[in-house]
Amino acid sequence: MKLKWANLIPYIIIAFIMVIIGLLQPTIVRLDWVGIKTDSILPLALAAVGQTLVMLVGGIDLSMGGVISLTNSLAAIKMTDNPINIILFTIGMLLLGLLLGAINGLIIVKLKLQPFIVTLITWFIYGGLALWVLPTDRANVPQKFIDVLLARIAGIPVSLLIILGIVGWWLYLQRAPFGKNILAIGSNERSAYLSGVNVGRVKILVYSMSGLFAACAGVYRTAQVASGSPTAGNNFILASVTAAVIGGASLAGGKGSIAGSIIGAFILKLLGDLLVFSGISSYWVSLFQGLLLITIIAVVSITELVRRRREVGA
Amino acid sequence: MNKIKTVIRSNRTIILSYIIALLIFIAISIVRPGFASPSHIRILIIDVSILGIIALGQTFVIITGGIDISIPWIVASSATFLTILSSGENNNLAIIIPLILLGTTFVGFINGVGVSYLRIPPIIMTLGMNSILLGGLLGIMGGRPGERTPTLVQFVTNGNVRGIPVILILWVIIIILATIVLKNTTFGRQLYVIGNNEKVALFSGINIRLAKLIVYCLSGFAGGLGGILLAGRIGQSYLGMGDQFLFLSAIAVIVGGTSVLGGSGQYIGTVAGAFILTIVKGLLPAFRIPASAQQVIYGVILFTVVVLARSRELSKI
Repeated sequence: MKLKWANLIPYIIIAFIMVIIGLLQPTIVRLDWVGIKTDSILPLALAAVGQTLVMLVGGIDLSMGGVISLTNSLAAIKMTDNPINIILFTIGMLLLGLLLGAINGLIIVKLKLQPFIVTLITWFIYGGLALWVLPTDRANVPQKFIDVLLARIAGIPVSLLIILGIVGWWLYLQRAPFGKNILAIGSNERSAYLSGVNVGRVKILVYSMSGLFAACAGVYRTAQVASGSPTAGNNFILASVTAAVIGGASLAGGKGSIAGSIIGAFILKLLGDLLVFSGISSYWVSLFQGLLLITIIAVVSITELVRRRREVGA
Repeated sequence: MNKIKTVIRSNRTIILSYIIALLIFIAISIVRPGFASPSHIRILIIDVSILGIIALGQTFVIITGGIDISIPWIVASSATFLTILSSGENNNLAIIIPLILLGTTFVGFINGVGVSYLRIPPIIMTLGMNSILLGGLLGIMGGRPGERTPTLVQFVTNGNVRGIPVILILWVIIIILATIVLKNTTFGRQLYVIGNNEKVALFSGINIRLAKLIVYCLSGFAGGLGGILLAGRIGQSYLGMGDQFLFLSAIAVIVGGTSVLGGSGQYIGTVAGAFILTIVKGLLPAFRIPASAQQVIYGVILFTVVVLARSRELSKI
């Protein structure tokens, strides 16, 4: 029962924030506002989903910054207005993300290196590639591509459908063998290995998927901002970790929820909006994000310490 | 004779790092005339010293099994506050510099409290701190550029005393102190025990929390000192000036033979790592390719070095 309450925290926070926004700006909370918000939050939500998968197996993916920058830059300048080209190019970008993630996973697993170090170096390399293809911010995004990704189907934004699709996938994953293996590795890698889980393969797949989701974020960002930036991804690293942590993920692995992380992404962005509403310059946003991350982890950690002490005492 | 042999054997990784650094240096001097000229070596020494000083705290932190991600914006904050508090004048440096170092040490102190007393994973704690410093500095500066570095600080970074760079003298003192602390003090030995096995450290009666707290304070101090010197090197401050130092400081430590898992390594190894990183960077302009492509090649080279170091470590087990 205790665990269930903890899982509800992000939903309570978002409800609280929505009420405050509704009170401060009663006129803006309408269906089209929700659509615009979902569009602008989707890149972070996608990144947070990838980061959560990696955190579930006890890792961290810093290279996400590089993958988002690279796919965003490529998509912003190399795509043409031809529909077939757009489709092929989008698939190509997603495959590129998958490949870059797989490289991370292979090195981490085969050389038994710390995820932090491997993805720090690949972040540097992928980020360099992004600067190589696009030295400064530029926009040359086909209008058709933007129209499709920002479209409304019977009033429902495509971004919201993507989010619902991912949540559905997560509900399925929790029951599927692959999802169970991820959770098993996160809670105890050694016993997962002993009970026959192919730990290496699952981890490589998880890092590949993290790369794939980062590429999705990069591609979607291209449509949402209608431009490319070679450093766009760097802001996503801390934000994706924070969103995952708000959603209940821990760096030790085994804990976390993709649905929670998506809510975490919404909370993070809406808190930023609240700051701007209350007249605080957007320059300060990073400070609040960092404080939020540390505060949540500290609270979780202290509760855990108190609980353990009580158990020992009893 | 036997004693020399054991010294060599136990420090094989570090000696190897120095040999690699020397070989790369010779190779580049042949390919690029002027690379080994006295004036260029002076520049190299300044850059290596700054990186080495910034990586001092990172070495201690990694030995205990942690990591400090907040280095980039500790460096940037220190440099920025130096230039805006002094407005480029030398008058009040005697107050400003200790104040800045106290400030960055305090940032390290907060990191240390989070990691050791609140049990926050080092990656999360210092990642969050980096973001706090970034947001704080952006908020305070509000998009304004930083100011000029006081000439006295520029002299400390770039100047000479009897032909020897001032910064090199400073760094050598730091190298000697750090090596003595790690090798010959109880505190230093305790750090290795903590990095190897915290449970053993706990049962041996080591005050793990205090040791970790001190290590993060040191990292804040070293980042602050490095930031001041970097401002001296560049002649002014700007917001992103520390960005590369997360990558560089961590890789310098690892290339210098310290295990990322903690429990081993020496500062003198990081010194070699800093040399390798700086020399390889000096090689890149020879390719005549854009800076971004240089970054890619630099990353790939360093990746290879880290992978090679790791395979050697794995083959030993």
